Amino acid sequence: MSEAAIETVGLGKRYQRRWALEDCTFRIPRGHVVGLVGPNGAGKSTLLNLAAGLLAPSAGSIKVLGEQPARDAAQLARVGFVPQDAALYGWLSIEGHLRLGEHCNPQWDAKAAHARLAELGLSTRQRAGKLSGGQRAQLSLTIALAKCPELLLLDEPVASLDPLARREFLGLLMSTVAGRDVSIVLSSHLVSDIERVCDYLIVLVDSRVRVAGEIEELLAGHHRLIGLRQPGVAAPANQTVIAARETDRQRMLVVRSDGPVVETGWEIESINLEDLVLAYMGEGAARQAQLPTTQAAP
Amino acid sequence: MTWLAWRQLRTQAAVAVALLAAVAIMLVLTGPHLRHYADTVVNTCGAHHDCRSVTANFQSLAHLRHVYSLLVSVVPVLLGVFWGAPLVARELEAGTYRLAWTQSVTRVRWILVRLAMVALAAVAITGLLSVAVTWWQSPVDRVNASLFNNFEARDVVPIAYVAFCVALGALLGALVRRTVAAMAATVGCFAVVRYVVQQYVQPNLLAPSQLIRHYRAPSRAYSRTLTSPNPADWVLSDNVVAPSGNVIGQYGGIGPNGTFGFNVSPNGSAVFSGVGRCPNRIPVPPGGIRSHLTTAQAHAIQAAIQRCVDSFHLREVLTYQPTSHYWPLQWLETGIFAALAVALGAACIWWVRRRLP
Repeated sequence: MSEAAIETVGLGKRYQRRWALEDCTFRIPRGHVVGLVGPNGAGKSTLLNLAAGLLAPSAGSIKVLGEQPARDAAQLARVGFVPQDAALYGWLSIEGHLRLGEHCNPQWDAKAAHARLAELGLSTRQRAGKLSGGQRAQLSLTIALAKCPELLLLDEPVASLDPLARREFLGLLMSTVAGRDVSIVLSSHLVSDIERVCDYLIVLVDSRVRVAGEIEELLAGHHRLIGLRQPGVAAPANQTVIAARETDRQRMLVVRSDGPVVETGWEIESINLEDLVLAYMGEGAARQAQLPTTQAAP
Repeated sequence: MTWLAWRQLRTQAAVAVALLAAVAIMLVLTGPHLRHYADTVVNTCGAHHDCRSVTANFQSLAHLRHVYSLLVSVVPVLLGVFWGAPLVARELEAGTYRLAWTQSVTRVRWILVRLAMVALAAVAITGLLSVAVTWWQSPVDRVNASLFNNFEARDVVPIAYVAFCVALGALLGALVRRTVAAMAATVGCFAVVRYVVQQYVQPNLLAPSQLIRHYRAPSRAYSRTLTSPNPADWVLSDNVVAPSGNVIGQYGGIGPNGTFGFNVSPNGSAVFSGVGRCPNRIPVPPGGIRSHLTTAQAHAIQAAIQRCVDSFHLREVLTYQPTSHYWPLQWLETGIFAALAVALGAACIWWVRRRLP
């Protein structure tokens, strides 16, 4: 169990002339539910497709469960993939998809798959093309889970779902994997999805990884500092400023704390996950999102 | 994986088999009668002197012969278009490759199994169709001495064509990633490859036979004077060749439209159009060459013209594939396209493994 769920070194992917992913180096230990978050077009899908072995890197390397993705059938068997928009054969019934999985995977938990679909109230004779977005996502997840994977990759599984279906999907995902030894990487452009289920976070902006780590540690290690806006006052020396915002009187910083704030003149607040992500996503986004919070502060 | 490959082919294969069965039933219902008619009535008509009506009757019995030949020519292309081209392209277009390629089956195995299954099914269907049509057509080909007329729609050649078309379609689908574009490209590429092989490769593989003789002036225009030994031989060309090697006429005639042209002036000097001026004079009677001629005068003119023609030392060269070359040519064409099919299939596998998506 020493190998990481995903480990990348200088990973990059180029489409023609545009880099969709650049110079990514990170290591996700096993046993986490990882949220991969970032704005649309940041490279989340590219990263997950690289991990699933559907894309080959243009630069650097990626190891999934210690092996090159899709290197052989055994490696493929260890990874479950739920693609964006749930790629299914529209002409094939749900039953057909289950049989597909059964015939294409050496380990296949047919019983669990059938039980899961029965729980969802899906008739197995229905064609996949006639299912709703939520049902398609569920079927796709059922197939991925029935492989009994060690790592489950979900590429924007809830992007096309309404808020209720989103909550339901993520809830079912968590209850299904509870107690199983499976690592999960889940991408979303909404922090609220991540916040609900993940304990590990990767923020991807402009094709690069901005921050990666356990959410608890990230929240403990980041603070919001509020101080008076004075020309002479610099940011505390032992803090790394992630985002800064100024009003007429106040100066507000989101900092990564390398140590306790020793300089006086700063009011220290803890930060929530959404603000943390937005701070990393960029100043413009951060400013907008932080405005209500700042006003509410006493 | 075999299950998925079969499941994806099942419906189309069932449709193809049903159509094949329908054609086979029609062939079986009419074939024996056609054969019997050819063996008895047509074979013995020479004794009754009414071969013309007997043959006409036979042709009307076999009035679907062109349809069947066309079917055998078209089916390989259709299978390439509807089975080969969507094989990879459809998965890429619909995004389902993300499902197929993330099961515990490597991409190479996936494409290998799918390609092999589709190609085998296509080969089986085309092979059966070709065998049935060839059997049905054999009395027709015999009576019409048309062994080579539907060379590409008989015996083993269509099998190689279909393997080629399926591999070509699959590769093009993987390259262009659009089903409809790949379908169109498959038809175009197959046409081009067939043309190139027919024009530039095939003639160099099995040299045709030639009949060469001293060119004789025909008694009338368009009258062929040289024919191949067997009427079923495949005549590739029938040229009139000057000593320089230039082809100056075809099918016994001189000039582009096959006419045999002499411009004779009233004083008897003559120009062999397209070749040169005659060294001898033509004995033109006082009334002109178009006037009523006595037999002696006509013979004299014919002899003078022949002497003029002879003076140019022309040859008539008939190039043909004898019927004995039929099977060697069938196997050569089959071999060429089978080899190309294997090469294209390998290229498709490589491309899917290395270059997609």
